[in-house]
Amino acid sequence: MTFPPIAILLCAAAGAWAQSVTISPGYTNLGVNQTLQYAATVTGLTNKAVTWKISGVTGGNSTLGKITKAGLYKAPAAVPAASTLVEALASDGKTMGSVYVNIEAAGPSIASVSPNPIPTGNFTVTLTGTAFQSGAIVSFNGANLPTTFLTATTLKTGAYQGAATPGVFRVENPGTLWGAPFSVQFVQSGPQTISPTQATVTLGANQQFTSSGATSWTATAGAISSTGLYTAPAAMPSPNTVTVTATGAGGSASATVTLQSATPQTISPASVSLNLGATQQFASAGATAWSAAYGTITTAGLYTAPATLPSSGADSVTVTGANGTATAAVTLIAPTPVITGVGANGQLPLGIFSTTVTGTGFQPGSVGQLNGAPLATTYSAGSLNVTGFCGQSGPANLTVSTGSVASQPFAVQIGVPNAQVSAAAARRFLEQAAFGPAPVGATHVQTIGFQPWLTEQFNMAQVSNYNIITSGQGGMPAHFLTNAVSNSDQLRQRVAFALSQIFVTSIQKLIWNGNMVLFQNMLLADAFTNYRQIMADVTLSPAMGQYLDVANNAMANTSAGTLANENYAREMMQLFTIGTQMLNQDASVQLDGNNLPVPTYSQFTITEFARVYTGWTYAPTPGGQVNWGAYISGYGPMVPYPPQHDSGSKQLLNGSVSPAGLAPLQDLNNALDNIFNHSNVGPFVATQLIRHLVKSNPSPGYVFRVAAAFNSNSQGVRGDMQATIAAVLLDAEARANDNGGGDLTVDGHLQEPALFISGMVRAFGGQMNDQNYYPSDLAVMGQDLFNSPSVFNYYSPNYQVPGTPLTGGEFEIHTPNNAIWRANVVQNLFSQYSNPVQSYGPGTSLDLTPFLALASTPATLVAALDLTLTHGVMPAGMKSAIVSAVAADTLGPLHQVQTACYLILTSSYYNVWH
Amino acid sequence: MLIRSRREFLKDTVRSVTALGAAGAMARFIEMNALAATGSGYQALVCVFLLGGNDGHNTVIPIATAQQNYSQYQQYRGGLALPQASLLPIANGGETYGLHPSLVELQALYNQGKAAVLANVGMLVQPITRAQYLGNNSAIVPASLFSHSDQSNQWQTAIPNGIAGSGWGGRITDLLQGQNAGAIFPPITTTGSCGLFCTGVQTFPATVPPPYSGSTAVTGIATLNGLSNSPARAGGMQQLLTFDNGLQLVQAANGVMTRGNSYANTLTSLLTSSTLKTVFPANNPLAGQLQTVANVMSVRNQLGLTRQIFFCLLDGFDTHGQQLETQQPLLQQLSQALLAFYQATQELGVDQNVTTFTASEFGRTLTPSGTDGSDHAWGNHHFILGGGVKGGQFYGSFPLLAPGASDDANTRGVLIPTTAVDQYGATLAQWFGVAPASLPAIFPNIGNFSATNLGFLG
Repeated sequence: MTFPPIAILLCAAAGAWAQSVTISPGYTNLGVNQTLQYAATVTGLTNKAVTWKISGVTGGNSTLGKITKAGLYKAPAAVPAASTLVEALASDGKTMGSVYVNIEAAGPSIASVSPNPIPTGNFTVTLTGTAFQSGAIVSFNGANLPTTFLTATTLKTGAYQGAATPGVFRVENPGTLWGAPFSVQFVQSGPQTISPTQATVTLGANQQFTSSGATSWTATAGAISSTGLYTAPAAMPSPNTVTVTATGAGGSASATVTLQSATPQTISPASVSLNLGATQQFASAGATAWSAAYGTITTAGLYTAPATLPSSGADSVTVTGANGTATAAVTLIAPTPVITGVGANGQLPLGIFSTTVTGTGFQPGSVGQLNGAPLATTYSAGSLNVTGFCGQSGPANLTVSTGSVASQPFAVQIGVPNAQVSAAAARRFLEQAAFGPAPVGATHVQTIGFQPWLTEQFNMAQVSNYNIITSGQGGMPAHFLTNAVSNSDQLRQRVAFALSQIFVTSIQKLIWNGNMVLFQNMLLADAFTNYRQIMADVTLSPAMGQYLDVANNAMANTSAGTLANENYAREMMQLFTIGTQMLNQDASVQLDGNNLPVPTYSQFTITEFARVYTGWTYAPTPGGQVNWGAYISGYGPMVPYPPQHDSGSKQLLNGSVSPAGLAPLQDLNNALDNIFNHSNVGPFVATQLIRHLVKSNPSPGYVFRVAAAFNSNSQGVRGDMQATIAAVLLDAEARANDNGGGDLTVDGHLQEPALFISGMVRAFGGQMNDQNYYPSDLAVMGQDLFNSPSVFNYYSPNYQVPGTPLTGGEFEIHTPNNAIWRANVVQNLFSQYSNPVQSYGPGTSLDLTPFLALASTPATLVAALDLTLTHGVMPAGMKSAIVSAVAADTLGPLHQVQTACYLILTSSYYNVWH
Repeated sequence: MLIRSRREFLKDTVRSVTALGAAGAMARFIEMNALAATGSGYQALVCVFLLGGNDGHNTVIPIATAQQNYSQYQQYRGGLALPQASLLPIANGGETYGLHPSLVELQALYNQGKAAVLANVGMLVQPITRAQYLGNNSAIVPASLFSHSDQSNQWQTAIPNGIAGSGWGGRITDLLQGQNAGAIFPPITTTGSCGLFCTGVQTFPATVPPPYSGSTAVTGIATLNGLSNSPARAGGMQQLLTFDNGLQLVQAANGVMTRGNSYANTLTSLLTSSTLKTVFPANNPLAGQLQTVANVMSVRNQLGLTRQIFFCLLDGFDTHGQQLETQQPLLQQLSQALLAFYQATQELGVDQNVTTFTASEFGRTLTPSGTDGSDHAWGNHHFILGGGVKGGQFYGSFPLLAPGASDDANTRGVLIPTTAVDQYGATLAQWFGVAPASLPAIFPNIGNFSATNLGFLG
């Protein structure tokens, strides 16, 4: 017999009855002597009255705390030994509610604080009191301070207080309330001062010194009173200087007194104007020593002026004698500057420039001027370097002035003479064909024109690769940026980047860098070849073999119930070549009788192609044996393993068949030819490249023209990448609006994070190396380079921008949070406090020095940055908003330049390249 | 200090109720009753999207049911079959199913009646048989089946053909804007980038990532760091954000930045420290996201939101190869994260008001691929979790695991869904407060299905 379970059952049943008392609030912490109002809610009884008890004692007592008939509880003066229960007994005498109340002890009290008063500034104090416990916390004016527990009676803490106003300390032990407040005073601290710090006093005369809080005074000669009144001696001591020292709470402070006799030393002449290098005799009665600040002077007072002009334009001669010192002012007459050459043949680039001016008569204080506007000028070994901005192409005059003496004007040419394209057009072109315009690159495009630039890029040997990456993990994203900012093969890199976002592989599945290095090197090498070659190289690359499971893809095994892997078969068509819907040549979708898209293939097609991609594995070591199931290797393309190849015939696209009995490579070539020749490839590739390079929403005609170039180059060859790229970049729609003012409402594409960072640094001619910090920013902003979350890339090229009818893939990763992050990326780079060279870690820097001189004329500054960042076509309304902000910025020239950069770089106008 | 703030919080709560006055409080109570069947002042939906196509065949396995048993599964699954002894048994009426061995916490929640299984749900235009599917009629089959991107979009938009600019989560919040009148934060929050699910016609989501590693912040939401001490710069930025040069993409980017700034300022000022005590599993990215969701929920009153939708994403389910090794840690992550999140909703006192559900673009083939994986398929099994869920049982119709049979779209065990995403979503939407008459505005094809409420919520 076991009764207890039955008892429990009865209790449970009782609980189901309707009478109950609930007490509010529930479990509460309460300090000793504090009060809390409780309320009881009675349900299931007519009489709502309750009797309040504390741990069974009606009304409580002094040990448990007391509770009134109305439920107002006052905690006891000391923490009870046992936990305390507040109970409310209903009128039926049996229904009761209860809640715990946790009584907390009073906090410890402070007896004294040392020092008191406390000197202002960073302070450290010792608190003395009683019953401190380990873990005690000191609060100061309500803020918790880091506290060191020394003993039960002493604590140490510290903080900062700037003003001599009172403060309040409290202490709490773990689990107690805050103890009683203890007030302290603060006194202004700081070093002792004295005034004046220098004085010249005639022998026997007086000079009053003051020093706040001084308690004693001393003088090395003469006498000084306890109130700081100094009396010079009657006779000249040696040396003739006296130190007066005041001592007080802040230490001591000293002043220097130079004594002079009643009849001062004289010098003649007292002022003179001289040519550089000229001589002048000075005279002074009783002279014992002569000196000059810049020129030279003999013991007989014969002065020779310096050969070059000091920046002040003046010299001084000082004589010392029995009656002290005397000084004569020498005004130096600058020679007339003569300009003989400016930079290379008098050519200055448009925009910000920095060039050498050669000639004669230049002085360290000489200033260059362009069309009358002063330039930032530095002097070095007889020549000048001038830095400035000119936003207008054409002839201009350069002059050099030293003080009021000016050179004859020297004719210079601003910008590219006989430019093939405008400055704006060249820069905009490089937003599409490169990682944004760099000043030198833009000049080059202006000089040779678009088509020759493309030819130059097509013929340039591959510069960029990832061979430097030898670590197993990490490093590739940083090196991507280094290449993008620094290397000359810009178009190859830009196209390879687009290809890497079409033929996506990811470190996520490759795990190690090795094969990603090879894969990206391959895309860079293949960028200007033929799309068919890219398809083949990608298909047999170990990276793709692993990523989409071509490697070790076995033919069907009926006994094991397995079939060929469909992964690559599907994505090769869906994502790399033809897409899921039949397209017209302008990429519009073909519709069926239900007005729905016509699919390009069926699930059956996928299973057929899956069989094509069977029987391939990773290459063995050179000369080694091919092993089925081999682990991924870096020994070149994958190799066939015929025993695992499904040699049956396969139904390809458009009714084609790859016949039975073919070797793996023959089957593969049939399949790739079959896909490559599908009519969708042209418009598919055209759309993708246009979206990556030029704009998210091309017109059908633009796509059609690029597709036509893909379908057949000038020699009738299909898939020629050079012809396709040229068609993308030289199309009238791409080049429309090169000089601004003609935007279509659907124009542009949002810069993806990697473009944004490289473009920002390139625009200023900045530097990037592999130590840059940006890979983590890229990852946060949704573009963890070469580590795409899936084969669908960082973003879908077809993503529809919320709130618009437009496509804009880059917006998929431009979340509200990532937009803020991007603005912070700008701030993190443009935030040097005093150094005009902006940097973000050891890997990224750019120099704002040329812009600093423009800060005083905000409109010029913004014009210079317009050319730098928005190819010189920034709308007037945007300019004026930035000019106003720069003018209102009171934090100095560097901050003004940073503000202008920040506002442009964070603007949507800049972020959407158009 | 903690003690005092808790006490002050209690006082504040009392004060705000008092301030409303008895009549005001009563009026609000009636209004809430009229709109939400539960009479609660708060409802939240949390979507956990398993990206890549979770293999449902190894998530919920029949062990002994009326139509089949474990051996049938084992026969067709081949090398992918999980050993019967490893499965975590759950009962559906008199039938026994097994959960994947990683789903320990989900098994417990199911057995407590807090979680339910929805069997063989997927994208449909209308109910469809194998014969109809093989008939190749584009009008009755979702476009681009088996394509990740298309099916992921369709799951999130409930639009099986054509292009959709908004998702059903966004459309629900569009419709219930009145519930969130006066809100200072969007009704939808995503913990990362979000596809279409979160995008409405009028409402756009806030992105609130989990805190970045090493950060002590409550969330990873970023605030502008370039404007401090520079009112001139802040003023300039404000002007540029309203500067319209006529380009739609520029305007769109202005909108994103403006919203980002507003969301960040609102949330960071409210969430200076977390009040949550529930411990979430470490090194579990999904748990991090759900912890962030719980933190945002904790300030729902201050945000002025009575209806919230959240979107979390767990990637990596596209197991064409190495499926057994890949899926095991992912499902473990899912299960542990869901339990912690459920406990957090209990701590917040909203466990009855929060319903969490899983989604995934498609299921996977029953028969294995040449390597050790499975390929893209269609119908799939999903979990619904929360105090309001009528759990401990299955909804929908569990399919027959037999290649080439009536539930197979071809010969590989590609499940033809017997329950539509529309029905799944409509059930959640109705619990959330959407009137039945409004369902077609959110799920255009809901009229093609006889049941618009699957009954897994009260």
